[in-house]
Amino acid sequence: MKTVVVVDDEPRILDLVEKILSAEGYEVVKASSGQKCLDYVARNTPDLILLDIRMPEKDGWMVYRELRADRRTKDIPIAMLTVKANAIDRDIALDVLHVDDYITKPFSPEDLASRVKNLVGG
Amino acid sequence: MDVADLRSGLADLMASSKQELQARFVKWIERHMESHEVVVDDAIGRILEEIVSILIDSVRDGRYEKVLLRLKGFIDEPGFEQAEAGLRAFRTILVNEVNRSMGDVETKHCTIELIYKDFDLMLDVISRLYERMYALRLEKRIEERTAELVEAQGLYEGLVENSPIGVCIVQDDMIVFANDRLAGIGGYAKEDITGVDYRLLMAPESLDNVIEGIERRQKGLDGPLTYRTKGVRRDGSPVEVEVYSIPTTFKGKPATQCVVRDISREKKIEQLRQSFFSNVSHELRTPLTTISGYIKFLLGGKMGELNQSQMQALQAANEEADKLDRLIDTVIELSSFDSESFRLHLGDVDVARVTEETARSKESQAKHKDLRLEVNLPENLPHVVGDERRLGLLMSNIIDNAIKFTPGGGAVKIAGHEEGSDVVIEVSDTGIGIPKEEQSKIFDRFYQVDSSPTRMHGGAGLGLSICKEIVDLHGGRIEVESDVGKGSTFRVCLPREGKRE
Repeated sequence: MKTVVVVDDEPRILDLVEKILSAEGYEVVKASSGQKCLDYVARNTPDLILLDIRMPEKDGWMVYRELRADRRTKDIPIAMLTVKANAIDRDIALDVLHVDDYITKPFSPEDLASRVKNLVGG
Repeated sequence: MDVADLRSGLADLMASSKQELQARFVKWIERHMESHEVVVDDAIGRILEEIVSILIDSVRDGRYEKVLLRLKGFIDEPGFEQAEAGLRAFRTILVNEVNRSMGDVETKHCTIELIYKDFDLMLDVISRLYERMYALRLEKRIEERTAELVEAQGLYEGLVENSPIGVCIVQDDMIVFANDRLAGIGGYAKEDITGVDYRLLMAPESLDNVIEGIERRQKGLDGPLTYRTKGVRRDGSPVEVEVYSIPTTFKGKPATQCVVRDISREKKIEQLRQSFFSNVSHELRTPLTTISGYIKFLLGGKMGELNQSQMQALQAANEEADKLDRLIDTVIELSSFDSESFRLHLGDVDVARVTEETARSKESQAKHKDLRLEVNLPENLPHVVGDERRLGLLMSNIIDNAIKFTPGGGAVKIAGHEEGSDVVIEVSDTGIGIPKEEQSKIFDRFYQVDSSPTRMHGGAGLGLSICKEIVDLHGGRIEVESDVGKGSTFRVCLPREGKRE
């Protein structure tokens, strides 16, 4: 079973993503802060991380940099899962920072599921 | 023969035909003046008549003082100078007349002598009076003008000194004049900065900015110049300013006049505004994500089978959630148009593809309302220079609008063609239409044709205003043709080369 870590400071969004992805047969690990995500990947290697950007303390980009800088975690696919902002943010995320995907909230469950499927490679 | 006799003799001469004599003299003087290219207007003519009359009277009763007194009254009249010249001519005539009409030589001589003497005196007095008058008039004019200047200077000084905007004059890099407010922007007093090199008041990193402006000017690009730059306050803190500079002259040498406005507050408000909209967007979308996510999840049957009425209820909730999402998009988009950091992300855009994709995403919406959505775009429609995402938003709003205002069973048709250097996309519907008098207003923000469609169709009246803004930014046009009850056609014309600057 593939493992997906979802990082968001909103517990309801964590629950929603968990429900959608469990129904598709993934094991979902919920992290309510950037630090909790980093703690988890220090001991485990998930197949995908869904990362919110706007979070208190460590924001998504700080977490992203730490994950990419660490030899053990740099190859884990990371998709940003963030509230729609402007198009520039999205372009920078994909073209400059090379995130693996950029999913905006609100999202449709089918869309989320199909993108996750692409990212974990089936 | 004594003088009194002479005078009376002369008086006799005049008495016989005063009016005739007067008319004759005036005519003669006028002719004489005309031959010297002096235009004799009514005013001069009237003065001449009067002077001649006075002189005839004076010769008659020999009281020249009275004449002078009466003549004083003319000094301020226009044409006095000409009248004076006429007076000299009159003297000549009078002498000629005496010469002609008086028999005995001695009497003639005496009379003429007397006339000369008296006239000389008279002319002398007149010219002195005139000079005095002229001097007085000049003095008065100088006084008036001085008062005007003092008042004007006071007015301008007051305007500059009490202005809430900084004003200074810079000459050879030195501040040669500054008002209190200019000094105040940097926390200085006026005296502190007058005579100081202006560069000392600028943030070092922004000097380039200013020097560039000065170079432009030296290249002959004179004229007003507005730019934003950064100054340094007395305490070392930076201050954002907007400078409007124009060439001027100070003490006879070229200088630059600058109007300087502290815009730190505006900048701060702009930042607050941007972060406010960004927060609003985040705060609205976070709960909407959960709402819309669960609705869609339930609709997908992932949490158990739904019966017919549960399904319908969720579908209604789903549509409203999507609408709310689009409304947030629109509000954020509209607010970004007002922001100073706003700009288009230009690229090569296949308008036909963007329109087609947008239309496809509306298919279920149309189907749900039982509308036919027909897209008929030529394959080789040229691309345009534009902002793809915003052009998508434009088409989305127009199509949404057509679907919203078209009753079930109708059709929304999308067509396109090339027209000169423009690409034209037309969206026609068989909807309720827009009355003629409303057609010019529908692109205004928060406008809807009347309040009932607002309630009936649940729009905020923002969609078309965003369309107008987007089309304007691309240098294009948006037009509407509509018949009430029959439908509307929205036509978007986009220049292929994008907006010309």
